[in-house]
Formats: sequence, structure tokens, C-alpha cells
Amino acid sequence: MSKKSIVLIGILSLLLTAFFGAAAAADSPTVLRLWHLQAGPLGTALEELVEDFNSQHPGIEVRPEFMGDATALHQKIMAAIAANDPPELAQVAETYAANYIAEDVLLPIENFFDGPNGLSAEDRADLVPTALKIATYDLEGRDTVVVWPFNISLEVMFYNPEMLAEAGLAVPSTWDEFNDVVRSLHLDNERWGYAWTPDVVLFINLLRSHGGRLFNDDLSEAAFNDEIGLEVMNYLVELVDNGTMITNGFDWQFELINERAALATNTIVSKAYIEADLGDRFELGVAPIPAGSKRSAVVWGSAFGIFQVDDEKSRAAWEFLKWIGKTEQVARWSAVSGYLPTRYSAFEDPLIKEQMEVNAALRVGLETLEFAQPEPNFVAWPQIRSAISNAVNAVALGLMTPEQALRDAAQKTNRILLMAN
Amino acid sequence: MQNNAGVKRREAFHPSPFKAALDKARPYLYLAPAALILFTFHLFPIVYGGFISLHQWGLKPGKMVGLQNYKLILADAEWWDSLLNTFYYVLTTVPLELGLGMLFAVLLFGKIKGRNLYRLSYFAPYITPLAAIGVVWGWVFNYNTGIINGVIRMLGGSAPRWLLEPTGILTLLGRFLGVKIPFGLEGPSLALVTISIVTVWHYVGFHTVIYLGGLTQIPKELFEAAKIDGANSFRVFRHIILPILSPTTLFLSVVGTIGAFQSITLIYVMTGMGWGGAGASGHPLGTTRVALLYIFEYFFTYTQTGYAMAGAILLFFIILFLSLLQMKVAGRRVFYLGEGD
Repeated sequence: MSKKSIVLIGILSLLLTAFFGAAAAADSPTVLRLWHLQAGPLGTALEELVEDFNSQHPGIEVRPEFMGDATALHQKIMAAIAANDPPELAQVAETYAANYIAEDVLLPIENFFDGPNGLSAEDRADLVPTALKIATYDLEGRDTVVVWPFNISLEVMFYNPEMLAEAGLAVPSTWDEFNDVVRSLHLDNERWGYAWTPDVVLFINLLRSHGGRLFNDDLSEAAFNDEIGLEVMNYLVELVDNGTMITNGFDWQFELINERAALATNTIVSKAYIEADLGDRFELGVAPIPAGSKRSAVVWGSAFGIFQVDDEKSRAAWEFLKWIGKTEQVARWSAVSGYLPTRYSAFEDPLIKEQMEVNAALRVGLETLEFAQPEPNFVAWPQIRSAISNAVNAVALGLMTPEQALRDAAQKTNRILLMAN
Repeated sequence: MQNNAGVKRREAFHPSPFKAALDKARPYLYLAPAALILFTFHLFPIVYGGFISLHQWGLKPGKMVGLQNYKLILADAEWWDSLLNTFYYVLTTVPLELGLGMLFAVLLFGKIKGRNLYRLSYFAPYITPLAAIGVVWGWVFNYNTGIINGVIRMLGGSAPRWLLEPTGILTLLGRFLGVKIPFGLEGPSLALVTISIVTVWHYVGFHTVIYLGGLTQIPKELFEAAKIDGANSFRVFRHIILPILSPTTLFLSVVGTIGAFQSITLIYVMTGMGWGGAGASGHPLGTTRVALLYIFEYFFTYTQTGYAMAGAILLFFIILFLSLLQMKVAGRRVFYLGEGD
């Protein structure tokens, strides 16, 4: 073969490759990386949902990538932002979303609500307000839905119905009754009324349910170092003295399962984990968090965020979020995960209705949704959360008086707020 | 060319300017690859970190704030607490690692049955990933379900709270002995001491192996001479082994101190990875929050990169100062074999 022929064949091959390559590129779907934190069976369930979306939307390919827990995912997102290569879509915990918003790396979801492929008035009315509230942030002085709500979990009370029945006690519905039950069921070194890993959540629940506030109106100062705050701290001391077992991390589940504690308060999602190990020891009771002068429970959630990407990708990402937020998908996800639905219509879905009949937790969750409030969601909150948690721990372990602990936490909070502002 | 005597005169060597320049540059060219790596991955990050520390830097670059981050961090009591925790951690790990490492090396240097098996078993913890070690030892020291407390309870004892206990170890000992420990002298928390125990267990194998390497350098004649002179085992250890191993001890103490200052994995994993009840790392009550964990928290959890970087630069200078001090002070006492021959 002559040199000329070889050169000709080479040029022809290149031209053909370029032509078919361009044709293939024109046909190739818009690829969206979806970084998420759903492990195990929940990860599989999410992947199945994504697979269904991909098969129904040939022009878009969502690629789910598991990135570990919320902290690990946040670290990877931080590194990706620094490298100027964030994923198109990521599941973000509200704690960290505030940081992304402050750094202007997220596209506010609300931008898509009124567009040609936006949300109908019916859709908007169907979204659970608490879910929207979790996804709403202060953007230049205006409350804006920045991320798309996906998971909702809230604080409930777990109890051992047999222990309560044996002692002739009713399920406590107020904090005073709760304290009485703890005292009544406590047997020295044998049984505790309440198993509790001291943290900020119970403090917030108690504070809010007694009319207290964490901060002043313009978020410039701590407001929990007042009479109500002190009353709450004193209540915690009383609770510990009356028969609360201080646990570490998730150990409270172990104490409840092994019938060494009668009551616990934690996220509704814990139910599945407790029941997995409970066997036929007893039927786990679930009730709303007790009330003070009013009802209050902390609600959390994770949401999907769209990072700053080009128009084509952001439209595709919104298409995915809109799809996964439809009643059918919301009901499917809720049924598998134990998280509460983010749409009211999902509660009417046969899948959830069926679960509501057998699963009291869902009924309790629906009831609690009406008064549940999220934790604060501004940038400095994780630091303040840590300061208050330390104060609660110090009081629970008897290392500080309630006054000292509150004063200390308030000073730290004010310093953090000063730095943040 | 020949001179008059017919001796061929050697022409003066005049290299070309290019060759001369190349010869001059040659050592630098040889050093260049290593220097490039050193600059890119070590020096540049330090300088860039210093640059970041002068800015209000979150996820992205912000405005220049001068030394503001340094002022803030130096005014934060938690930073000083974290430094104190770091010193406690260094003091409860490095001396024990050195002592036990030397002890095991001397024992394993002798002719004992199954010596290689022992050497392997001492080294095994060192090659086990720290995260796995942290999880397993976290279970072992679990207050409710841990095997240690299980045994203590079985024997009728009162189970310590281990990783949950923020009280100082000296205060706990004082309570046990009925002695009141004054404020400020409480010592590290039991939680931190528990982590130190696991740290020593992890690193002692490394120290043993390095000491074993040092022991093999000692000429056999010295041991034989000492034996003839009637020296007992202790005197052999005191006057032969200890001085000859002093360069190894200096090396291990410097490396161990730097390592302890930079420790984070084990502490982070064993204290619940930020989930330990308090909602932040350093549980319980910040008594296990060492300086690097403080920096980590500000960087990853609070996303205050500029502030965290100021902490990192301060820690860099502290480690540098301590390493130089160790070399200067201990260096005088180091005996090198062959010195003074």
C-alpha cells in the first residue's frame, strides 16, 4: 500500500470518527451526578427510584453516587467546590446547606417554581409546610425555597407499654407527667425511667414548649439564658436525679430494647432500627413528644440541592427533582425509608394508607408535623449547637450548675454570633 | 604540539561556556525533581495556607483581614484547651511508646522461642487501619456493652465510664485514694487517657521494630566484654544498650511527638465522629478535642477555612519549635557509636 493511500485512509478514519462521535454526542443524554448519603437498603431504594427516572427520561441520565454520611458528603462537596467541579445534584443536610447558600454555590429551587415547567398551584398547596420550611433560607432578606425537601424526620417519644401498664401509668403527654413516670419507674441500678444521650434537642423542645426562645429577633444575641432557660435546665437536673440513664450515642436504643429503660425521645426513623433488634420482647410504643404550655417537637430533613451548573443541566436537574417529588415517588420512598412524606397527597396513597393502619409512628408523625419546628438554619448554628450541647452535657453529668452552664453557653453563643455578623 | 624537549604538552582544557554552565547547574538539576515535589506538596501548601489564614475565607476566597484570624483564635479559650489536651495526649503516649518499645525490643532481641511470631504480633497493630482500630476499641471500652466493663461488673466492681468520662484522671485517682486534687491539676480526662492507651497499643510495635534495628547495630564484642567484666543485665542495659540506642530514642521521640501532635483519626473515631452526644467532636465536653481536631472542626464543620488555617499555621510553628528544642536539648546527650574513637 502506497504512502498516499495510508494517509488517505487515516484522514477518512478521522473524519468518520469525528462525524459519528459528534452524532453520538448529540444523542447522548445529559448526565447528572447525584451525590447522596443513603446507605444500605435506603441506598438501594434510592437507586431503584433513579433507575425508574432514567428509563422514563431517555434524555437525562442521573448517576447516583454514595458519599458516606452527612459529614463525609459535606467534606467531599467542599473539596469539589474548591476544585470548581461540584456535582450537579447533591443531598444536603440543612446544617450544611446554609454554608453553600452563603457561598452562593446553590441554585435556588424556587427559581424553577414559576417557570414553564414549574409547579402548579395544586402542587404547591400539596407540599407539607414543615417540609418547605426546612428547605427555606433567608436569601438577601427574603425567605426562599433553596433546596428540594426529600426526607423529613421528627422527634417522638418511644416507650415500653408493658412497663407503663404494670405500674398502672398512662403514656405521659406533658413534661410534668413525663417526669412523674421517670420517677415512678426508676429502680436503683436495675431500671431507669428514661434513657437519654444528652444533646441540644431535648433542650430546644423543652425551651420552645415553655415559650422560650433560642435567640433574639435580629439573631444578634442568645435569648435562652433567661428564666425559662433556667427552668428547663433545672428540669433536666430533676429528670436525671429522678431516674434518667445517661447514654452515649445510640446506646439509648440498647437500653430500651433490653428493658432497662422505659422511655426515650428521638427521631421517628429510629423506630425501624429499634424494632429490628427488639424481636418479640414487647411492642414498641410511639407517642408525640410531651407538651409544656404548648406543643413543640424538633423536625429535621435533608434535601436535594442543584449546584451552579449550565442551563441545560439545571433544567434536567429540576426535571429529576420534580419527578422524585411527585406523590407516587414520595409514597414509595416514605414506605421504604420510614421518613415522613413531604406531600399531603402521599398520605392518601394506598401504600402509605396501608402503613398508617399498622404503623402508629406514621400517625404520630402526621400529628406532630402540625406543630414541629426545625432547628435554626443559619451558618453559625452548628457552632452554637455545640456550645449548647456542651452546656446540657455539663448539667446532665453534674459538672456545672444550670446557671453556670447557661451563662457559659450564652457567652459562647454571643461571641459566635458577633463573629458571624 | 611538541615542545623543544619533545614532550607532548597537554593543551589547557577550555570547556565550552554551555558545558561549564551545565556543570555548574548539574547538582541543582539532580536536586530539581525532589525539590519540585517538596515545593509543590510541602512548602507551597504551607505558604498558601499562610495566605489563606490572612483572609476571611469560607468555601471560596473572601476579603483580606490581616491578622484578625490569629487574634480571634488566640482569644478563644477552647483553642488553648485544645492545646492543653494535645500536650496531655503527647505526654500520655510518647514516653510510654518509647519505654514499652525499648522493653519489647530488648526482650525480643534475646534468643526466645517463637521470636518471629512475637515480633509479628507486636507489629500487627501498627499495620491495622486506625479507623478500624478506633471502632473496635470503642466497643471494647463501651460503658454499657463493652467487654472491659462486662468483666468489671462480673467481678462486682464499679464500671468506669471510659470514653464518656470528662473528669480528669488525677481527680478520679484522688477520689479513689480520698485525696482532694486542686483545681487546674485534674490532668487529662479519662476519655483522653482511654484513647492514649489505644494509641500506645497501636504504635508500640513500630517503636519496637525501630529499636530492634538499633540493637542489631551493637557489636557483640561489647556484650562479651561486659560479661567478662562481670556486668549484670541491668548494667549492660544501663551502660551499653541505653547509650547506643540514644540516637534511635531521639529519632523516635521527635517522630512520635510530631505524630502525636498531628493525631486525629483515632480520637475522631473513638469519640463518635462528631455524633458523640455533644453534637461536635471532642466529646465528652471537649476534653478530647486536640488542636488538630479543633482545626478540623472549624474547617469541615463550620467551614471557616481562613480561621482554621490560622490554627494550622500556629500548630505548625509549635511543632517546629518543639522539634528543634528536642534536637537541641536531647541532641547533646545522644551518643553515636564510633564517636571519639
